[in-house]
Amino acid sequence: MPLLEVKNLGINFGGLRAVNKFDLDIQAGEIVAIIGPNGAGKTTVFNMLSGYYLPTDGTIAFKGCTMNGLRPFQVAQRGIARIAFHPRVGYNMLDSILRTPRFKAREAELTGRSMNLLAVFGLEDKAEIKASGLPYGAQRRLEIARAMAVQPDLLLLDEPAAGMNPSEVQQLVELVRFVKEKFDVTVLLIEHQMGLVMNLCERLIVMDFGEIIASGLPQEVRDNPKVLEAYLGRGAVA
Amino acid sequence: MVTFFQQVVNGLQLGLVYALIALGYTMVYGIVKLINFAHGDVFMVGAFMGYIGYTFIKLPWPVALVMALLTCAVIGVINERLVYRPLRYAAKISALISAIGASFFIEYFTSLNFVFTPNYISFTPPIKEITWIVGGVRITDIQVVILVTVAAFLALLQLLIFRTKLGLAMRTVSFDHDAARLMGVDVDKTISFTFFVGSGLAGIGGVLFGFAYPQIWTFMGVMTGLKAFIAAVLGGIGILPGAVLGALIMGQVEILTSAYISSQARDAIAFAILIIVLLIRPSGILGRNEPEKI
Amino acid sequence: MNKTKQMVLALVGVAVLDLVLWILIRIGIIGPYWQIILNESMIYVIGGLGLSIIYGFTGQFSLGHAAFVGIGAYCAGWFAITFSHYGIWASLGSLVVGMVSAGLVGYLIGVPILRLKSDYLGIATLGFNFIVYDGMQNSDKLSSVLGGAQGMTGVPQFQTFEWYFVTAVIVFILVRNLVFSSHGRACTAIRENETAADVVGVSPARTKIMAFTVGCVLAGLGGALYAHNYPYVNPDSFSFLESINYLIIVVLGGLGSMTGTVITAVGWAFLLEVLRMFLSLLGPSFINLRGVLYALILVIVIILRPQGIFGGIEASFLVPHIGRRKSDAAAGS
Repeated sequence: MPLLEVKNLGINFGGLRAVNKFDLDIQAGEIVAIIGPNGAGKTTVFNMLSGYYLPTDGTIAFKGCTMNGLRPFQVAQRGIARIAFHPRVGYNMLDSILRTPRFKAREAELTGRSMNLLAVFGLEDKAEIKASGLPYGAQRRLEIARAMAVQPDLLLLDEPAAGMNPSEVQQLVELVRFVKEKFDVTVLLIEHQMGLVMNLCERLIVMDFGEIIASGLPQEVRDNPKVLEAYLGRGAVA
Repeated sequence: MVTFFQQVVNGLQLGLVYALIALGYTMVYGIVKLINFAHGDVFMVGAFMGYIGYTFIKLPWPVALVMALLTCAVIGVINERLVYRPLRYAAKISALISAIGASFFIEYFTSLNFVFTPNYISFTPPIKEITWIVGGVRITDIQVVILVTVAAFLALLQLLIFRTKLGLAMRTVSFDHDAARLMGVDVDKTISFTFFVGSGLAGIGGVLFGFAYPQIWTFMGVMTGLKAFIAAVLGGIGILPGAVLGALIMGQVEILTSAYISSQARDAIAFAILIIVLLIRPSGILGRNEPEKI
Repeated sequence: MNKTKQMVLALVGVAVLDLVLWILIRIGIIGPYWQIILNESMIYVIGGLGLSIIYGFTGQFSLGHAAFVGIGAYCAGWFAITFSHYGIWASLGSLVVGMVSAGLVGYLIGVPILRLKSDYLGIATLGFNFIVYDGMQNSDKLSSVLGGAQGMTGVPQFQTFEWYFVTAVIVFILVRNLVFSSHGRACTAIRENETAADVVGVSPARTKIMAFTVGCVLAGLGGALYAHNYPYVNPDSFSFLESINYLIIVVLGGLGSMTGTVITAVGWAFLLEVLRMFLSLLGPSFINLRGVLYALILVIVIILRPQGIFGGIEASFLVPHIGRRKSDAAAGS
C-alpha cells in the first residue's frame, strides 16, 4: 500500500482554481520532488497535505487513513507523524505542578531524546543558544531536526535549498540522504534548484498552473518538451 | 411610535458625536496600528475648551469650536511626538501601555485644582433650546447644529483623504511605512498630521457634546472614548466609513437601551452586540477579512 | 548541584523574609493599615501571575482579568457569608469556591472567545468585563447577600499577612512548575507563532483554553482573598480600570517573566501608597499630583524599557538547566 495516496486533489480560491486533478502516490522510502515554475501550486499542495487548507475536491490518504479535514496539529500528531494516536508527552498538568516522579522521568527522557537529535545534526553544544542567534546553515539543520522530532513517517520540505550556493546545496543533498537513511523516513520536497533535485530524487512531479504536466524519472522529466516550455517559456531559471 | 422616532433622533445626535471621535481612533489605528487610549481624553479637553471659550472668554460659540479644534489637534500632535513616536516600532503592547500612561496623565493633570479641577461642571450652553416639531418629533437646535457640523467635517475629511496629496500620503503610510518612505513620503510628518486631524475632530466632538449635554468632568472621556472606540471596531477598525457606521449604531443602541431597557444595561448591551458581531465578522462590519498567507 | 542549592537558598530567603515581616507586624512597626497593603500586594501577585500565564506566556491579550477576580471575590464572599457558621472552614472552602467559579466561567468564555485574534480578543474580554460589572451592579436581584451596587459586606475578615504570603508563595511555585513543563512550553510555542506550533503538533485551541482557564483560576483565588481582606466587596474594584492595572503590572514587569510579574505587582501595590505618603509630606495640595506622577512614571518606564523592567529576565534559580546533566547521560538514549 502506498504510504501517501492523493487522488484528484483540487482547491478553489474564490474563482481561481489553484490546484486541479492532482494525483500522487508515494511508497515508503522514496524521495520525491514536486517542481515547477513559481505560482504553479506546489506550496498549495503542501498546505493541503499539512491540513492548512481544506481541499475542495479529492482525497488524501496517509497509511490508509483519510486525512481530509484534519487540523494541522492532528496531521502532525497522527498523519505525518507517529503511528498511534496517544498523548504525546505522558504526563498531565497535575504531574507538572506537583513535580511527580513521573514528570521527572518523562522530562529526562524528552531531554535525552532532544539532545540526541541535536547531536545527530551536530548542534548539541548549541542547545542553550536561541535559534535566531545561530548561523544560517545551523538554522536549516535545526529546522530539519525539529521536523524529525515528531518522528514522522513522511517529511515535507518546502524549498529547503532556498538561498544556498552550490556547495551548500551539495551539503544539503548529503544531509537529506543521511536523514532518510538514519530515520527511515520518506521525503517529499518542493524545490527550484535542479542541482538538488537531480542528485537527490528518485522521482519528479512537475506542476504548472495547478496541474501535473509530467512525472517520472529525473532524466525523462528533464527532457520533456512540456516541462521545458513551462520553465523556459516564462523565462524562469531552469 | 412617535416616542420611538424621538429616541432615534436622540440616538442620531449621540451617534454623530461618537462618529467624530471614532474617526480619530480609526485614522490613528490605520496609520500606526495603535489604539490611542488618550483620544477620549483629548475629547474631554475639547469639551472644556468649548466651555471655557464660550463661558469665560465670551467667544461666539463657533470661535470657541475652532479654538477647541486647534487646541486638541496640537495636543494630539504633542502626544504623538513625545509618547508614541519613541515606541512606534517597538512591541505594540508597549505602545499601548504608553498610551494608557498618556491618558492617565491628561486626566490627572487636568484634574488638578489649578487646571480644570476634578469637579463636575455644569454650564448653560450657547445654543438655545429652540425646538422644531417635525411629525410629532422634537428636534432641537443643537441637534441640527450637530448634524450640520458633523456632515460638513465628514465631507471635508473625505475631500482631504481622497482628493489631496496629504490624504494620499496618509493612505500610503497606512499600508506600509517603509514602502511609503521609499516613495518619498515624509512618514513622520504624515503621521503627525493624521494625529492633528484625528484629535481635532475629537475636539469638535467634545465641544458639541458639551453643548448638547452640558455637564462636563475631567474623566468624561473615559467611557465616551471607550464607546467611540467600540464603534470604530464594530465598523471595522482602520476603515473610515466603518467608524461612522459603527458610531451611528452605538448611538442608537445606547439611547434605545436607555429608553426601553435600563440605562444601566446600556454599556453591557453595547458590548454584547460588539462581541457577537466580532464572533461572526471578526474584522468588523465593513472590515476585510484577510486570510494569513502561509 | 548548583541549581538545587540556589533553589534552597531562595526558599530560605523567602522564609526569612516572612519571619522578618512577622516580627515587624507583631512589634507594631507595620501597622494594620500597612498589613492590608501587604496583603493586597500578595493578591496582586496571585492575580498578576494569572494574567502572566494568559498573556505573558501564552500571548492571549485579555483586558478583562479583573472580572474574573471579581467573580472569585463575589462567589467566595457569598460562600463565606452563607456558611460562616462553619468558621474557618467556610473561609478555606470559599477560596476553593472562588477558584472554581472563576475557572469555570473562564473556560466557558474562553472556548468561543479565544478564536479571536489579539486586538479583538482584548476588546471581547474588555466587553466581558463590562457585562460582569453590570451583573455585579445588579447582583442584589440575584441574592440580597451580594449587595448590588452598594457592594457586599459581611465577609469574615482575615487579615493575617502570613496566610496571604504563604498562599502567594505556593502559587508561585506551582506556576513556575507549570511554566517549565511541556504545558508551559506549549504555551510559549503558541505565543511565539501559533501556526508553527500547530505544525509541530501543539493544539492551539487546547493550549489557549488551558492557559486561560488556569489564569482565571488564579484570578479567582486572588478575588477570594480580596473578599477576606476588605470589609466591602464593591463592583468598582473590578472594573476595566482594574483590568488595566493588571495589564500594566504584567507588561511593565516584563512579558514572560514570573520574577518580573511578582516584583512589579508588589512594587505597584506600594507605589501609590508611597507616592501618597511622600506627597503629603510636601503639603496637602500636593496629594493631587499622585495621579500625575504615576502616569509620568508609567510613560517614562515603558519608553526607557519597552520590553518591561524584567523583560526577558528570569531569576536564575527558577529556570531549569537545559541540556543533559551528567546523571542523565546514560538514560534516554
